[in-house]
Amino acid sequence: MSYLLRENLELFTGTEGAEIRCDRCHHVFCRAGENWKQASSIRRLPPTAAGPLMAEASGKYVLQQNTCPSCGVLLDTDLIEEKKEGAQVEEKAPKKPEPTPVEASSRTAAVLVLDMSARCEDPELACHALLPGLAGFLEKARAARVPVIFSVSASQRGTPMERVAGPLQRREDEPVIYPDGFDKFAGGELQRLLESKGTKTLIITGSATNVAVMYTATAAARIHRYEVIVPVDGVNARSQYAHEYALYQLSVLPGGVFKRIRFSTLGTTSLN
Amino acid sequence: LALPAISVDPITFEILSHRLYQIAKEMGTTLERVGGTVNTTQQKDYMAALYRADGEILSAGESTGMHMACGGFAVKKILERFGNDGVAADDVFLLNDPYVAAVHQSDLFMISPIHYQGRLVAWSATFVHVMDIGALSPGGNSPGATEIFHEGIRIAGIKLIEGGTFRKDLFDMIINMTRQPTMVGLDLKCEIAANNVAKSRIQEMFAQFGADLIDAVTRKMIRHSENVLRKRITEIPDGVWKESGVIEADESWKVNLVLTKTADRLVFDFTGTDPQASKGINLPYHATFGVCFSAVLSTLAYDLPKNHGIFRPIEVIAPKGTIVNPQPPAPVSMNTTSGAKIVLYAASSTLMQALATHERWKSEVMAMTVGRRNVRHAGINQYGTYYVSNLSQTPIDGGGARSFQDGVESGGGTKSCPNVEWIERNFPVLYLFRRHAKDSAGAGKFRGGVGAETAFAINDAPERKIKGVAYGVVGIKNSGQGVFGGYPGAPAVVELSKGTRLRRMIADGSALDRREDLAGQTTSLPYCNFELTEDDVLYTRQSSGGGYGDPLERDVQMVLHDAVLGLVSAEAAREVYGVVIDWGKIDADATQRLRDSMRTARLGRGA
Repeated sequence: MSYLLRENLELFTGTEGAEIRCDRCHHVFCRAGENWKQASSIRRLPPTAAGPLMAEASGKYVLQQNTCPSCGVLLDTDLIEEKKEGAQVEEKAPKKPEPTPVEASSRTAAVLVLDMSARCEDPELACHALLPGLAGFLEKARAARVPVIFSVSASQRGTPMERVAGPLQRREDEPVIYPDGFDKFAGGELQRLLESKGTKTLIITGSATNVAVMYTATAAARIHRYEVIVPVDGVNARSQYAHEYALYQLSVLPGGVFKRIRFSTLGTTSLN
Repeated sequence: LALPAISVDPITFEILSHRLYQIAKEMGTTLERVGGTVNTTQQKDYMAALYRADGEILSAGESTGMHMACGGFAVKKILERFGNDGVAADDVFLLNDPYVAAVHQSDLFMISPIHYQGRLVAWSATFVHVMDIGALSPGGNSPGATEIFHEGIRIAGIKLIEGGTFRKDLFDMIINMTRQPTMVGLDLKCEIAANNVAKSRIQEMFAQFGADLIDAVTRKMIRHSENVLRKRITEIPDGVWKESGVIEADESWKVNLVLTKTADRLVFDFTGTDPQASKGINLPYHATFGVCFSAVLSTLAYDLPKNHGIFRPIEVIAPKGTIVNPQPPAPVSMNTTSGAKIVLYAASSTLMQALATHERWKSEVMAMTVGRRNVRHAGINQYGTYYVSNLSQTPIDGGGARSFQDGVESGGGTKSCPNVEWIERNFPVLYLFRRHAKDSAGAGKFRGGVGAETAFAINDAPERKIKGVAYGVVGIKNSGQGVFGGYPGAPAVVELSKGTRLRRMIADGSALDRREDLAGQTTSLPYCNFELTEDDVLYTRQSSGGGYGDPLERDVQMVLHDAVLGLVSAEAAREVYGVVIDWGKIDADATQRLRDSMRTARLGRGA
């Protein structure tokens, strides 16, 4: 049963009790009665993002936007005083790469899901926002018989957090590895798995963009010579800035390595 | 008193209720035809409504909610003050005390009892916003007033006409306390005329249909509006919605509102609102109630007969001594463009939030405007006569965006705006332009209506100067605010440029449509008095509508259309809407790429 709360948000009563969720992508923001804005993706832009006549607000106000962290639908826009705590305009990361549609062969591709352990079931964590989008993408991969491999941080092994986040619905035959390093090729287990599957193209997803994703993608393209695809909405970080600078760094790796890393979105990554 | 039960058939009901509506409208027409000022004849800043014998609103024509509600309070106060025995046939009462029932002193109520066969059966009430009321500043709105005693004549209720005898002594006393006795006198007389029209029409109606039938119809009208409204309120889920707003002048004041909806009742609670100000932004309690009534009327009851039935489900809690329930001697003269606007914004916003929770009412949600700015002017005109007038620009504010359509362009305010030629013919001013302000509307899936911008200078002014008063909420957030992701409209401004090149440009025959060509020293005018001299240009930009929903979801063809009409610049089309326009055509691929990247940029967040 669901009730309309406002445009694009609904009150939903599921097995976990009453929750507020996006009515477009069903991303869960918070429990009923909590502040959904705190669980939204928050951006702070210069006032002129609303048009040139807002110039006189510059330096005094910022344009704050709340969006659904999963599907990106804009939920609220408000001018707030800059002097309020934390209202600084978002730092601009260097020129991040623009995503373009990519195609990969299902016979030679594999999907890596990095560090999306049970901790991501906590809505307070940034990686939580990736769950709905990734769950859908993994279903697409499974339907195309593309292998899926999960990593979980070595520090979580033997704790209740060692399992993969529930919403990703890991299947019994999908391996979970626990490499001890930001680069998930550490220890050699990942490379052995990929070789056994005849992988040539690695689709790298998970969190965080500036840690596991950046070091694993770099090693994959530079050392192991894989073709790498990074869906930019299938990875994220604690801040938009960190997310964007990591994508930028991957797009400028020297020695032609950048050419082996392509950027797409989950929706524009096709598996044939 | 048990009245005979009279059954009213639906046809008679419709005919009589529409007749009452038409009488109230005819009262308004009378004001326009007999009156002479820009406020009455052009801007239609007046009220004309009919009330039942006990002061309950019967029919209100085209009057706004706040005004018709205050008219009802005024009738009740007259009844209280004079008692049933003190009200005779052919009396006409005058009242303008904001601490009795008026909104501010400039609104002079004229109230006539209507008798039929010796019995009080109804009231008619009118006001016009008079051109001057003897306050500190010409025109009434007085930025310098710190108490109500600075704000002009204040009358708690007198008989201007007693048993059909016109009190010329009182009349002369009142008009001579203003700067413009002739025009104020004409204003008072147009009100008397409108009340006379109402009286004769109502008496004709009673003679034709009989008191019992009309009583039954009017009760049924009120019950009908009340029943339908209560049913609609019941449909919306119970809940609590909050909003706040800030009135910015040289200081700022906060209005706090919590709307609680339980079953078929709406309770507006202003607890937490700032203490009353020593500036004329305060809104007396009856006007605060009237504004909440107005908000309900225009959201949930816009299609119902406007009458007392819509009063009944509403309760307003406003703590004494705050800006929404000030106590004497707090000044009030500028409240219609400040306190009333913020209260209307907060009340409407909470109602919109409530409507948004219901599938049927969701489509009625629209973006709200916070404030409006205006200018009064006074001096010696081109005919050598002293005048006081009003630019009446608030009707050319842009309207808020709706869930299914853009806001109304430069016509989102109530009432109407006088034409430029009429103003130039009557007053010593020359308009450089009055037009839609490009990029002023709040962006959204549906954008707000654009506000108008104007520039003008003095022309043929014998004293080579006129005086002005700038008023209305200032600040960055004084315009339309977006809903559901929609962006705010551009702030409303009044700006004075001194020492411009205007006279030289006129001599050269240059086009006067670009502000930057005029040069000069420009300052933004807050609530203040100012002088407009020969080389000065006054620029105003009205508030614009806020947007509805995500600008990236706006139909690209609508963005192109706006760009072609000059309402949105190509730069804003690209930066705000993500639409790439190249030589008058949409670049579909570039637009898709830009919109995708703008959406992607939103994803990810600080943990």
